Amino acid sequence: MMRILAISDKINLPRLVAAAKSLNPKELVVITSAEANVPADKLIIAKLGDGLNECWVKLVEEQLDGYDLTMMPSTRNFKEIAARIAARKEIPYLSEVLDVRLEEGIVVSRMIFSGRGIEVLKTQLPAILTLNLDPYEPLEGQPSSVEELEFNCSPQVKLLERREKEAEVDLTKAEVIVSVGRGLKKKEDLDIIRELASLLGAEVACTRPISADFKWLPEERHVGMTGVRVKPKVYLALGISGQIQHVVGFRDAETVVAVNIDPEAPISEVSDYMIVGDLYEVVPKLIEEIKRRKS
Amino acid sequence: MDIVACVKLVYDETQIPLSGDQLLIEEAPVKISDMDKNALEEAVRIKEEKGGTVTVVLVVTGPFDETILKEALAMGADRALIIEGDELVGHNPFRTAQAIAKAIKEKGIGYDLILCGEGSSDQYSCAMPAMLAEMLSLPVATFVGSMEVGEDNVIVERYLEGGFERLEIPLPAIISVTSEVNEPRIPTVIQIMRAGKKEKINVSASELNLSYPQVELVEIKALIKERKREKLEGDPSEVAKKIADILAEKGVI
Ligand SMILES: Cc1cc2nc3c(=O)[nH]c(=O)nc-3n(C[C@H](O)[C@H](O)[C@H](O)COP(=O)(O)OP(=O)(O)OC[C@H]3O[C@@H](n4cnc5c(N)ncnc54)[C@H](O)[C@@H]3O)c2cc1C
Repeated sequence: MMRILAISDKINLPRLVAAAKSLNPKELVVITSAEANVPADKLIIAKLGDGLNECWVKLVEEQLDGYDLTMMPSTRNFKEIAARIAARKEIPYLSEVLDVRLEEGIVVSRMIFSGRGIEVLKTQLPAILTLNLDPYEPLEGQPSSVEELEFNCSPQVKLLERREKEAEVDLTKAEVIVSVGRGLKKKEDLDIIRELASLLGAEVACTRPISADFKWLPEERHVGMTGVRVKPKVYLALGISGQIQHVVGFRDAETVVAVNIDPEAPISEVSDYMIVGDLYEVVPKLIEEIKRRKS
Repeated sequence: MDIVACVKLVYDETQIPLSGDQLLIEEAPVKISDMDKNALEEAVRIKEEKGGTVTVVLVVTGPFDETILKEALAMGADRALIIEGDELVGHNPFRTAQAIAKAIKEKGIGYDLILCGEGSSDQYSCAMPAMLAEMLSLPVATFVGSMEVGEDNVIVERYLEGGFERLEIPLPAIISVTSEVNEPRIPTVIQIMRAGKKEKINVSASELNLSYPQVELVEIKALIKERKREKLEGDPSEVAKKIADILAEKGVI
């Protein structure tokens, strides 16, 4: 029977607890940084000062003994924390886990090659995992007991500043997405894209060059491996070549419609409908057509 | 400033052929893992500004291709440390980190700064730099999208899901960089040819006495999403109508 330690920030905790509970542990202990309403046997609220990774590492290192499995969300911070603890404790660590099974040790699956493949790995317990929590529904409930833990830590690194990204939009919830790539010639041309999107009640998204290199749209609108993974009913890809790092981001879209001037563009292989044409001709006609049908 | 840049050679994931639900991994060409290129570029830029040396450290965990190694050296590194051996092959960031930690100690490679990519293009575990930091007892900052090296410290900006974190870190330190940190240079053919003459230090894994938690690979499968793949050509107003039909069918308009 398993003892699980789950460590998380506030946002990811309810889904991490769902993931931990799905393994039917004998005991589930949670460490987090703020009060939380999750069905754990024990909830430890750690007071960590600045909350730097270094301090999390020291705290968890002290708490970890006796657990079969330590689980964390696959965020950038926890991927660092988990890896450091695994190195200190010399126990196996597997990251970005999509699925975990108990079976003389554990068997996990994770994405590789930018989403072109899945690998299945097996290792012994005790182990540490960071999980991709997208598949889990948040679980709420009363913890059986709550404890506060004051933790003093003098980190080597110094925190200078934290800035939140102004989250303008959450593309993961969009039902329809109009996405543009480098087929768009200049920033002003986003106007017709926006017009189309608003007619469709869609969100505007883009490939990475549009946000990272040209800065025409904010980072949180870029779809793909290093951006957002979306699952709309319709993903309209305009002037997008279909490189794997982008494609992985819309894998879960129900229907993909692409407009590309190049009939051989790789996007044709990963879309349901590929319109061979110039977006500068097709989009205005599409706007006309939608307006006509709406009136 | 002496800098170590950790570089992994990987199969180019964008060019792996498919056969049914199998990926024909070994038929893909070899490349420098994308973000390791950014790490190496950053190392070379710091050297160009402040002087010093850049050592490329390469653990052969998968494919190896001499030309690609030369390409890395041609970007401006001074020498390469190559760690090889059958037992290094496969997914095990702990083992990779330990091999690097032990090999740079054994060969007396000095460093003020160790740079790595945030994660590799094949496995993307993002674990190795953090593990290496623990093994060398160094401070670490992961997912760094911009950085500025001072006399005895480095100021970094970490790019996180919800925002940014600016940290000051004493040197020596380990930093893993994201692709935003720079635009890697593309070496010329002449530079690549000349790079063949640069120093190469070879280390065999068997010399290093590695001991690490075991991870077993059960299988690899292609992740395929079935799409209709219909191609529509024709006059813009014709195709616009077709798109509108599809949108209507999906209940969008
Ligand atoms: C480590 C790494 C991570 C990455 N992560 C991501 C990521 O998360 N997301 C992402 O998007 N990218 C990512 N990339 C970049 C990715 O590899 C591609 O470079 C990028 O997705 C290409 O963007 P694009 O399709 O807009 O541009 P291009 O590849 O330049 O394609 C433009 C397309 O537009 C078409 N076109 C041109 N004019 C017209 C016209 N008038 N009408 C219609 N079509 C036209 C062209 O035929 C072409 O197919 C990453 C790269 C690396 C190395």
